[in-house]
Amino acid sequence: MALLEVKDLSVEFKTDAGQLRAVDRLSYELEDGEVLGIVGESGSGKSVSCLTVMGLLPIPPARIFSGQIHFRGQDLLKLYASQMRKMRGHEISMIFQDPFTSLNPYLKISTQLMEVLEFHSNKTTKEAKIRCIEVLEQLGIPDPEVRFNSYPHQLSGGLKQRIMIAMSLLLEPKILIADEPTTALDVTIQSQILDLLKDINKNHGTSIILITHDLGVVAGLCDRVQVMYGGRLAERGSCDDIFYRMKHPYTQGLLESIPSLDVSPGDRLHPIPGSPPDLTKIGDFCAFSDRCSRAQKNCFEKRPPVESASQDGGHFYECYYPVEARNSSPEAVNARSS
Amino acid sequence: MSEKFEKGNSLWKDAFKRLRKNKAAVAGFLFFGIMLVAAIIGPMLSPYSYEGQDLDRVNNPPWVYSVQDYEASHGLPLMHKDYVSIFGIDVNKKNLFGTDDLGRDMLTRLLFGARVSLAVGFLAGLVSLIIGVLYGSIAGYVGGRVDNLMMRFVDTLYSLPYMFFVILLMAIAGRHFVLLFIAIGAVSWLTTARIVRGQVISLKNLEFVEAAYASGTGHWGIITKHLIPNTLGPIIVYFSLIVPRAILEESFLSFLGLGVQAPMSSWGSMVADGRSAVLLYPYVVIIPGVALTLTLFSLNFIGDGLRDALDPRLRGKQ
Amino acid sequence: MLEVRDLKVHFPVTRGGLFRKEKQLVRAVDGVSFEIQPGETLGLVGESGCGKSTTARAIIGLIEATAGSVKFEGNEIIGLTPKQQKKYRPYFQMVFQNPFSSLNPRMTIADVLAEPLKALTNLSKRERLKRIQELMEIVNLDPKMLFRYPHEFSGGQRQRINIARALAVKPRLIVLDEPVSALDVSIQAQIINLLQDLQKQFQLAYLFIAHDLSVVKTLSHRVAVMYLGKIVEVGETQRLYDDSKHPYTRALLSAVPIPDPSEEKERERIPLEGEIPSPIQLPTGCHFHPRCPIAEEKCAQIEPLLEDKENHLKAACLLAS
Repeated sequence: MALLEVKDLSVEFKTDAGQLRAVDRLSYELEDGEVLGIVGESGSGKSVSCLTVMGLLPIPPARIFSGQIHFRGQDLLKLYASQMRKMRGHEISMIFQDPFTSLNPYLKISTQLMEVLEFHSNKTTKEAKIRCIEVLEQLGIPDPEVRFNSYPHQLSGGLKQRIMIAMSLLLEPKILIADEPTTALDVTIQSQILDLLKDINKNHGTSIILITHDLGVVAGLCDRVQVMYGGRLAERGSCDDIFYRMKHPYTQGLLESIPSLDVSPGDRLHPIPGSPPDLTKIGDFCAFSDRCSRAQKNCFEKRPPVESASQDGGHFYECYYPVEARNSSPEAVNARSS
Repeated sequence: MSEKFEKGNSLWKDAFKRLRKNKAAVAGFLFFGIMLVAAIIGPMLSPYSYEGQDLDRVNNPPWVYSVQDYEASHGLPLMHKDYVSIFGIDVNKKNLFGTDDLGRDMLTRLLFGARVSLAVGFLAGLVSLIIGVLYGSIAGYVGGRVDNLMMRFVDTLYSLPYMFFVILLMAIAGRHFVLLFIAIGAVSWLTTARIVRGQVISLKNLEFVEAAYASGTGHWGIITKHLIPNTLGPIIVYFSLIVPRAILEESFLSFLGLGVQAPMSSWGSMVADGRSAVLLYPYVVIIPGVALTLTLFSLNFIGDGLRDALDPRLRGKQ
Repeated sequence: MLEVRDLKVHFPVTRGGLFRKEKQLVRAVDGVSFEIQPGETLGLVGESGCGKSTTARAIIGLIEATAGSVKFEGNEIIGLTPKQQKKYRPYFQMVFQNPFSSLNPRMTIADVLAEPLKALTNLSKRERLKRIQELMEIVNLDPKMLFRYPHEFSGGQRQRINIARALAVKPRLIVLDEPVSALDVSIQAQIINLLQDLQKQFQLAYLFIAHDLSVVKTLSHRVAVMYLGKIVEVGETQRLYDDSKHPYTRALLSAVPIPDPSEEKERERIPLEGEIPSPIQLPTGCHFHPRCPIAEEKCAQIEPLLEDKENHLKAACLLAS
């Protein structure tokens, strides 16, 4: 039984331009102790699906059309707001992209951290403070007592993000959802934060859902990866499945279009032609069809069902004409880069 | 190469659509529109002039329950032939809103007063706008010491008792119509300047302003083509709130006797005129009072509607 | 073509409480020198606060330089009056990072593209119209959309408009300040290819600023790495990426995630301790020494200069060979 199971989730937004299908019948699971990366571009639905898990969607204008989210035997979508509030922070917590705006600039760090413990646990103020400092230390924050009493503007971006992570770990949640946690940070700070997340996963067993658009980040940190497009599943599998044995043309296009350190100056890149889909005009056809070089007539007529790629399960994709990956194991990779 | 170009949807169009959906604002616009039209053509169409006195028809109310009872209780003769009975009430068909203490037609005076009040309101708003926008945008753009000085000047003016100055000005220079709106406008530009300055400061660091520099546009070009058009939203909203305030202030001044000169009427002066006999002839005060109130309401609804419609946050984010 | 020598941009800042006001200096750019040849791309990389954006803006003239010299084809362009500056404007243009805030939302695209033409050329109205239609086609946008407004375009299209605006007055050097970081990954590649094509077509020189080291690698002939207002290493791109000499460059390169699981998992990371110091309280000697994994005592005392090292690279490090 997976720790978190999202089944057939659909979320719509009411906008001036019409009904926008942000998430369109999406299903996935998160196993206990694993790191799942959700990759996609803007409009792919990756953030919305996780906000739904956390119960943080603004209900008008959003509307949960269908689906269930099973966590520990309960359907989160059926919980009352008060029950969901208890769950949030305690069992499932989330950190966001911009550490600059996630912390209240008028309150000290101590106030913000203690607030979490006060709401969710029975600790006394003294016990709570000890716990907070403990977590700050575990996260490698230098001079934790000093930082504890600081205001957000006195801290750098990397430190703020660590405080955010600390805040989300205070109650030892089972699941940590990180929505683009390092996009706004410098690359050297990014690697520190990613190492930190890896550490949390290995040493505390916290399952992590990492939302990002950076495939490099995914390659280093994630056990399994889900690629989303147009609010739907493009492909999901283990890290190796996605990078070496990809099936969906979008995954392949994405991997081929990103410049990596292997490119030579003056090389031409291979972009995916066209632009991301208009989510108000999505329907019963493959969302990627207008940009796909392999698309045939039926791609435009009916949305492809979820197929399984391998016998042992775990590798799924939505495509009628999957690619046969040319990449394979490390040998081929070495051959490519030399 | 085709010569046909597609038309774009400016942000104003979006705002207008949002405005149309706001019922209070639409109601406000309608009422105001009617008042404006009535103010302009009313006095022209009316068989009476605003100053024509008819001493046979002094203080004739617009309607009474019974002409005889009224004459008895008030000791005032009414022209019986002016009144027709409709649904049991005697309604004055000659002077639809009655007459004042000099027999002048209330309706005509009301509409003439509307001209005065609306004109003063808008012109004062315009004066305040022009001075405020220029002052504020220059202060915000130049920044540094100049901005500091300019704003301290504004602060000083703010702390002065403005009403006092207007009254002083009117008392010294005479009660000219033009002076009225200049006085009110000249004092209310301060807040406009502050608002515009704040907007300009937050806009001038945006990348499209840097891009305009790089394109070779000069300082004045940047202020007029890039900064001011992007501050129009708050400016328009503020303008729609200045106007009712100016109207109210003019009414107050006229009520004090410092506004328009007799025999010209403004709503404030009409209330002042009827003040002494308000218990006997309440309609002389109520009618201009209600007109003023409704007009102010509608302008405020329009202002609120404009603010909601022009708020850039409303552009949907996905 | 463009020669920058010892460029400095310092901002005075007043700090302190009510009574103890001290004037301090933010040394955003602290002595930067480099050259750009015609038709070449120099990549400028570094993390936040290193001064790369400030350098670019000082060269273009959007920010006033405190000291140093910038020569364009032998002519000094620092310290000119605004009128004199205007003469050189058409040679340098800039493409900005944020596709959303770099276009005036109240102006049509036609107005946006015509603005530099109106300010810097003498073309007639008809000639301008012709030119802006041309520009739209150069960046692969439909000229029929000229009278639409910025919010009607996607991020990638807006960036193309930015590029078209920069090309309007036929510049020789375009400074690109993180032109693709705000775009989706699949669009980034389109824009990068476009920039490559334009460079070949019009013999443009680029000063390409970015924090994404992979993107910089595709476009740049040479790369300069900045840290806290100084250039710490500069050289031919492939050489720099393959075997850099400065410890900061090596740490930076090792921190870039590679989209390949087996490579990524086997990698040697060079972790950097601590945070980037504030540009007001600069460390003594080599600015990098507090975080440097191989720093020695002398690094805190002597400030290293940019010197030739092995592999045709120039690095500012006392310990590099």
